[in-house]
Amino acid sequence: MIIEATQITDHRSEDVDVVVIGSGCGGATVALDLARAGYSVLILEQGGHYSAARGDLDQRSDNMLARIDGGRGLDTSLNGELALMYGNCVGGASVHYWADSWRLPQDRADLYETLGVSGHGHARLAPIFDRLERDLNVHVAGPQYYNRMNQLFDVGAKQLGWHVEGVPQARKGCVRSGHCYQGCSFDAKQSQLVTHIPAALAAGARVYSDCRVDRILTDPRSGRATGVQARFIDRATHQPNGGSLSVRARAVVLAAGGYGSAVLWLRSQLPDGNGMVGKNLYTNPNPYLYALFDEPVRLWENIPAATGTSDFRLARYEHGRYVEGGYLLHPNQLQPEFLAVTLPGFGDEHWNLMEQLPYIGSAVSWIDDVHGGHITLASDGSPRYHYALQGDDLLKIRDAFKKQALLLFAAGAHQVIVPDSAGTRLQRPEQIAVFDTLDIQNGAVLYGAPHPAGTLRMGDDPARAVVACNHQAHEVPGLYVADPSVWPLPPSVDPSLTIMAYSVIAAEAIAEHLS
Amino acid sequence: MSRVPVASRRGFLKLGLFASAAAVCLATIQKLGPAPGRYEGLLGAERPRLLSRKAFATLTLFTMDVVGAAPGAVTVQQTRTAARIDLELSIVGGKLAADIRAALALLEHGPLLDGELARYSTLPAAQRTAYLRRLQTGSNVTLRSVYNGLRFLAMFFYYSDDNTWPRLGYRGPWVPEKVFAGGNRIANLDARA
Repeated sequence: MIIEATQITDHRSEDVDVVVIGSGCGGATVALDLARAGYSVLILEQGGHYSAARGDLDQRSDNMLARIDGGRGLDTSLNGELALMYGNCVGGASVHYWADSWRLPQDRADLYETLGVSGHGHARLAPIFDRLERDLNVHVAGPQYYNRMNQLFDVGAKQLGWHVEGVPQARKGCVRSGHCYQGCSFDAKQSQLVTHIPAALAAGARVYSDCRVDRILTDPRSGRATGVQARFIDRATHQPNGGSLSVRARAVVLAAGGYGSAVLWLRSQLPDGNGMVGKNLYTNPNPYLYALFDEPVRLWENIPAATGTSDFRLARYEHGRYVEGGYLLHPNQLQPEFLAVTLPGFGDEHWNLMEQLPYIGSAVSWIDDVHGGHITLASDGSPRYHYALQGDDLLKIRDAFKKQALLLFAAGAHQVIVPDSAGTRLQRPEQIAVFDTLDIQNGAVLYGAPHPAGTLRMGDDPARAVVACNHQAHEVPGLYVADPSVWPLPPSVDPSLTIMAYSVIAAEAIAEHLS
Repeated sequence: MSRVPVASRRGFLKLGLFASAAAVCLATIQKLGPAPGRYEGLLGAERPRLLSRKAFATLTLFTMDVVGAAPGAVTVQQTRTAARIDLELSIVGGKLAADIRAALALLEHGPLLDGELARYSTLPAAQRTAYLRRLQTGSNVTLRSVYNGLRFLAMFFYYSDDNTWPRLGYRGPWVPEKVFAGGNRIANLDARA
């Protein structure tokens, strides 16, 4: 049962075993497992409930950003360098993800262990990934799902001697409409909205949508989490509709995502003894290039990234100095309005590109950032995301631009277009040295930042971490975190499947506590 | 999980710098006097919700300049681009709305800092283009952010109008539109009028 704000305009009280804040990959998964274990579970989702069956997912980017994106598509880091992308709907960010579904690589699981994360090793995760891949029908896409950009990507990569691989996809019955980012209108993308949420409901969990948690409540003597206070939000105005909710729970699960969980922690004025709450904000920033081809590419068709290369996933260093890599490299997908926004220039210059839109291709990288930012609250309680590209992360972006340009030229492009403020163009691959010095900071290029992590770091040492390896907060008994906030570094691949896997472990720990 | 850069520049104004610039401008602005006729002409029949009439007029002119006027293309007036931006800002409010208001003020009065004896909205078209080019490619991060942030909004709200798509070779969504009460499309402008 999903209860929406329109059904509530008064005060309600709930008394449950577990209240879960957030319904994305973390919250939905932990709710599912605990509901199946027989606990009473209540999920609180700040955003609305939108469904394909009701025609809500109408593929218009303006409508859909207003419906499902946390900042309505307009939220950025404080310096304007990053476009912050996060979910605000039942199903969370999985409603607008690309459905790429990677397992956490073993090297990264091992690295997490060296950074203090125990109980989440590769062997522990493997059977969980097996289950999740079955739940979400994860598979490599067949050739019919390769749009022209995917085909060109393979051509270019092979020309350069780079290994390509099918990107695991969480899809079932995909009709190739090409509007994954706007939320699947056909329930084919296996987001939490159509997988773990309905499964959790079937197991007895309940969901309140449009329900904004104002604070996590604690017992003043023991410091133990006891529940939450929340208000219901009118979707049209984003203002409280007069309804409110008090929840008393034996366990509180914070799963509001990498941008949201630390904010709620800070707003709730929960303990922060080591000063780590809100620190280590990683965002997986994504640089991308455009290119003009002699044939139609139509970036907006079919699925976004059926293929890609992991050849550069791990950064390579020599004598302690960065050489190359530290990112995934994939074909890119954008709808025309996003192309219009990110193609450089204005007036006639911009229109000249727009009228060639079907011939524009693109490649994108996901930077495995190591220099974290941090989150603070303004005086009105609104979050400020402090993040500036720096150090090796900047070098990784420059290297990613070079590799993208090489690939696009090798795929047959006759011109590469940099989405920088100046509108830099390359006519041949020999010009890639321009990326060594190009102004790409301080808003000269707008990077997407879709995969936040790190701000409630996990580790068994309370002096260095916020959350213990059983997902329980060191300083707030009864409060658990089940989202990417706990990771000490980004996972180096799309995070969705790993978020779910960690949440399965979180659910086990919570069940153990409750029993 | 998702991968499209979709945001405007929210935190882009260095307010201290802006305040200094505004102080320098104000004395000159007083001498130049208002340009109400110009602003009203740009407003047309639109009635802004959040922006002042002056800011709305400046935004309208900016959207005209950055989108351009390709032969046969629908205009920013037909797509009500500035009105949709104004509606969105009225919904979002907060820091974004404050930043955009400040950005429009700086855009409008910025030519005075360049030694022009005119505001953006009273410059001839060629000089406006040159001015925007300086914002786009100059080394001043604040001015560049003004350009980029406003440009984002102009392009997104113009090209998310269905009537712009046929000329781009884009056949549009596969499913019918469903009006969203919290949306910012033309239907929402009419519904909230």
